[in-house]
Amino acid sequence: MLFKKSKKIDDGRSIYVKKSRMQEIWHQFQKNKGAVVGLIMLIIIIGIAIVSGFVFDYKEDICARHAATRLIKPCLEHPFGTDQMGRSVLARVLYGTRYSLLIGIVVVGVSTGIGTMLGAIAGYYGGKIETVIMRIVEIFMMIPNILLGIIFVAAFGISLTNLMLALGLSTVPHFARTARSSVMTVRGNEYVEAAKAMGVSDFKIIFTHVLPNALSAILVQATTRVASAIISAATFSFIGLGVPSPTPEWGAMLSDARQNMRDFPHLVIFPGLAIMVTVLAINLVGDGLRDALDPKLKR
Amino acid sequence: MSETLLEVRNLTKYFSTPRGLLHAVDGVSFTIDKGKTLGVVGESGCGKSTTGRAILRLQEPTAGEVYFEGKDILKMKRREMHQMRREMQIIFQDPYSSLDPRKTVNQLIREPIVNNKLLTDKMEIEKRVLELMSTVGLAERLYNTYPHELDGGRRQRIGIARALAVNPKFIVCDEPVSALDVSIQAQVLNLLKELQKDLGLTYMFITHNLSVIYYFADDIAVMYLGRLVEKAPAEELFAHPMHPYTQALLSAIPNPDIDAPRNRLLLKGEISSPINPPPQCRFAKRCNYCCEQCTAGEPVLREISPNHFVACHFPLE
Repeated sequence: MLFKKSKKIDDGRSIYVKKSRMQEIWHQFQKNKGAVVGLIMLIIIIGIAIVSGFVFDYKEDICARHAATRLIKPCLEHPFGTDQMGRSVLARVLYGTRYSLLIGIVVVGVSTGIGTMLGAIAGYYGGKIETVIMRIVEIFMMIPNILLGIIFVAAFGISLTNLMLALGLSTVPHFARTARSSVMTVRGNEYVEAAKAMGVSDFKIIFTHVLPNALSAILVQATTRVASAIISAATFSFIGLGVPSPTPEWGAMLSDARQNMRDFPHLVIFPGLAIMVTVLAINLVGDGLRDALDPKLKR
Repeated sequence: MSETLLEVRNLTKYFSTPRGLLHAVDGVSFTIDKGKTLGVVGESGCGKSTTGRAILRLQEPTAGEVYFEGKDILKMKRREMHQMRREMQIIFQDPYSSLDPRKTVNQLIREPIVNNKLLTDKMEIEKRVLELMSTVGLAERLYNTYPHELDGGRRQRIGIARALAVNPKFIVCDEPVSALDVSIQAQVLNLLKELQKDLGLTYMFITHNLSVIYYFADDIAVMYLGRLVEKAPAEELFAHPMHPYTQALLSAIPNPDIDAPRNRLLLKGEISSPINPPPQCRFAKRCNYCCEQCTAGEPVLREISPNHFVACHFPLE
């Protein structure tokens, strides 16, 4: 049932009251088993990120070096083994969730926000505005991500915030292009013209008619970009422009382990698995959300 | 004489294309009286829809004047135009693409009311939406359905309800029934006619269906390649078409009587290009009566008999 009959209007007629928008999206979302699994995984991951901040003492459990426990393979006492500094890989992987999740979300948030707005304006207005925006975006696209990141970090200093901003800005062009092309297809629809005829402002048309209908392509792009943001952050950590060394960011852990990788594969397997599981969960949720937001796909 | 609601003078809309200026609408003038319907007919690409859209400034006209109740709306500023949009509405041709697929019937009909701040109280808006739904014959249970769950006729009813929501005086009906099944066409036409009677609406009814226009319009304007070629009251136009194009158009109406003699006037040749047309009668290339004068200069619209306007050097009797 799409709606339930309940509310009464003053003249006594009962009208069909819609479930709230959120209820409806949830109703659709939970039909998709994969998406629900992804959501549960994501909730657990977020839970870990929050709880690990209270359970572990950052200095003691995560960063302190213990010469006695160097490079132990997984065993009962150290389920994920220990690394070259004698730190528990389990603790570091769990604690690293905080960084990787933060990076993924902030980077994609920045690039989706800016990119979608630029693309939407370019696609909606067309003409000169479009030319100017898209040329600028293309100039940014020409610069390799790494180079852009290096420039940014060199200019503003090495820190997590700067890393996230650099990564976010370097993916803006992708979002701008995706948004522009899907906005252009939506703009051609008569309902946009109908909204204009009703006197709806351009700004409102973009937000209430154009973007919701252009959302699916952007959402898919965003979920896949979370994964690549986490991996790019690892790359930057690897060349020393990302998160400084003792920080248990998953990518940084991978690069720290590169010398001992052959003999102690657990050093890369567990952070790698963590990246994979997180990315998978986000993608599943993203797909489910895309389908749930589209009323045409209702069964 | 009844009051003039809308007067269009020399409305012109050119589109620039790589090959030159496309004369979509070229110096069209007409008036519509309050409470009447002007039917606009013509073949595909003759500029009927563009005329309708240019009047509402959905596409800015290149030149011309449009007087609505004596005020030139083409000179209006943004804010004034925003007010004006309450007076003039449009019903679109394709009810499949003119409704946002992500909005429910309720949200679609509510939009013009909320956006123009006609009502602010939530309850009142709800009541008004239901009232509009019953006006156009939509069952209350469809309140929360999405357009894709409905058939073409019901979708078009949503389109009509949306147009009515702001209490307009004038509605451009841009081929409102051509995308619908024949059985539903009649329902929607009857609905439009009833609404005109009840609410005193004035229509500009754009169509290529001549049977529909005869049933529907008080006056008929025939367009060809961006030009208005003939305008007359419906009865008069059907009884005494004067422009060769109108004659050919009328002879193409199917006659249900199979024994009746059929004398179709077949037009030869193709419609000429609307890009940079030469200064001659636009119909000259296909006209059976074409002569020197027709290729030498373009005929202007003139009144042959009372209220009957023709743009032809040699109007037929």
